[in-house]
Amino acid sequence: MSLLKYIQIAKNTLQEYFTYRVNFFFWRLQVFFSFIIYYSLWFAVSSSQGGIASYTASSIYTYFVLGYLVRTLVFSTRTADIGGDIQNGNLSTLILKPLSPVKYYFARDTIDKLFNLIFMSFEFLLIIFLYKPQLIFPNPSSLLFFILLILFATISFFFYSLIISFITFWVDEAWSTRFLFGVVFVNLFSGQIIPLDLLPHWIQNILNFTPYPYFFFYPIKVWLNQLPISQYPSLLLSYLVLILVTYSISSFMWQKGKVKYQSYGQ
Amino acid sequence: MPIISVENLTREFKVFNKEPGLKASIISLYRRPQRTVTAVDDLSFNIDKGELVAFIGPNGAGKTTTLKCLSGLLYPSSGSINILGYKPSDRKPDYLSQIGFVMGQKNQLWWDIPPQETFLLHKAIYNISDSDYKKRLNYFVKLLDLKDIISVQTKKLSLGQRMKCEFVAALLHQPKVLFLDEPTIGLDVVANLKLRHFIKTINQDLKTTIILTSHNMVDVAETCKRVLVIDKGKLFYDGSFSELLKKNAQYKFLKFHFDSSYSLSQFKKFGEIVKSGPNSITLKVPQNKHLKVASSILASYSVSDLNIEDTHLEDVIAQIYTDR
Repeated sequence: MSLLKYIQIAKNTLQEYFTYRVNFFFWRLQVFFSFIIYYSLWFAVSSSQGGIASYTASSIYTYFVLGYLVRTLVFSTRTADIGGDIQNGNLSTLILKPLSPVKYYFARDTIDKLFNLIFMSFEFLLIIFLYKPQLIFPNPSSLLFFILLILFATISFFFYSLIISFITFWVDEAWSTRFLFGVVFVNLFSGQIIPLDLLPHWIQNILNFTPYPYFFFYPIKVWLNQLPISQYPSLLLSYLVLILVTYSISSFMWQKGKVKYQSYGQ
Repeated sequence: MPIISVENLTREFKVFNKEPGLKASIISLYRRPQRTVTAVDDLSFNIDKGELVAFIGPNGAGKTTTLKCLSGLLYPSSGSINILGYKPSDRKPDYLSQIGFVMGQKNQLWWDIPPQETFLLHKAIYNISDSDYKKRLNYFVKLLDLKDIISVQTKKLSLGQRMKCEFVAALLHQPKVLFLDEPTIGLDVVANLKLRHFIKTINQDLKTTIILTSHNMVDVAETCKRVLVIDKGKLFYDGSFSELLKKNAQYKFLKFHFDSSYSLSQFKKFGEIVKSGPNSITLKVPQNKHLKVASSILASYSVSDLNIEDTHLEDVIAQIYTDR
């Protein structure tokens, strides 16, 4: 019975998307063209040299084509709405109902990912058709581990996103904070723009203490069979710690924030 | 046993002080003095089941803040609130399932899809059975004439239509306590009338305890027998609305129409002349003298018509606010 309300939230969210078809179409177009730019750049660089550093041409193509899927699964989110809801007092309508606002946003997130995934699958086929990249496929154990890491990355990114959004409880105008930590840092340090192992070692070492590589870079490395199985347990532990830490911080911020919440406006 | 019990409720806010001007804005980057505003100050009252009570007071009096504390939206700075046996700020699901809140300036309807989709969501949130949902929705649709409205996108509805749907969304789960914060704000006369009637009907039919805030004194007069007057966060009157008006409505307005013209100066001894026309005059007369004045003028002048009016509600209330 409790799940029904979140299913209905997901249904209503989907209906919102159907209302703004044109807007959604241009959103997907924007995402698609962003991918084309990255992929074309790396395609040009690696095809002329037969690869880059430890990456063969195939592994670079796979990195970015697979990255398109990973980006949709992990990073598409509705948690960006939370800051606005806190600021303009719309969170009030959620707080006064017998439902968890965090689960509400999770339900919206889930349907957002599913909806984007459906459209992404068509775009994926188009990419394969246009570029005919020689892709690398994982062995069975890597594939299973990849799926697990994607799940963990999705969960931990959700909590990470909540942390950034809940800052609005304390900082009235948190747009720049969200942009810095939610867009700039995530894009730069997760490996979406450049594979992290192409960066200097000292940068990689620092980034391993941040959540960013775990959202994008490590799952792709697993798919590419570029991580030995012996590293899987320690990687798994890192993800569990990441989930625990992001969950704990977001929960703590929610507990403190909802007391501080002033429900601006009438 | 009251359904709502409030004792020594206080709610404070910290606000930042800033002097006007660019220089002050630059200074405020590193130094922002703050002060504490007491929005609700030691409020205590009880409300029984089935009552329909209004909080009235000037802007910034603390009415909405009080309502938000009662609903659980805001945590009190001190004091205690007990509603239906719950502490609202705990926000227990069992408590939230039994209250409803309509905010005149905030939507709970999903903006981009029809209200009926929000109703379905509320059905799921509040665990309303299919048969109850159908029965209640039909009841509200009939009462508020919503048949052609609930399937239209919320953003395309007029304010009056939207407010009616907001009420339905807040009442589908038949809450025991309903909070209404300026529910008729911005509505035209007809819509206002319909909602007022609706509020009275649900109070009578469903025995819902209703607490509302409003600046529309006609709304308050027509719906509520009891008012709590709040100003600067303090409660200074809790009782019957008609008693409040009787105590504070100090004047009557006597409107005379005459068969012929008379000079205005003759009437100055009877009271204050507030309006005059070729053959008419309106006098403002103390409440305890209006009958004597009326009979004196009727005896001395050729009067074709006489209207005796109370002080306008808004004027009485404005006087109460000003005198505080």
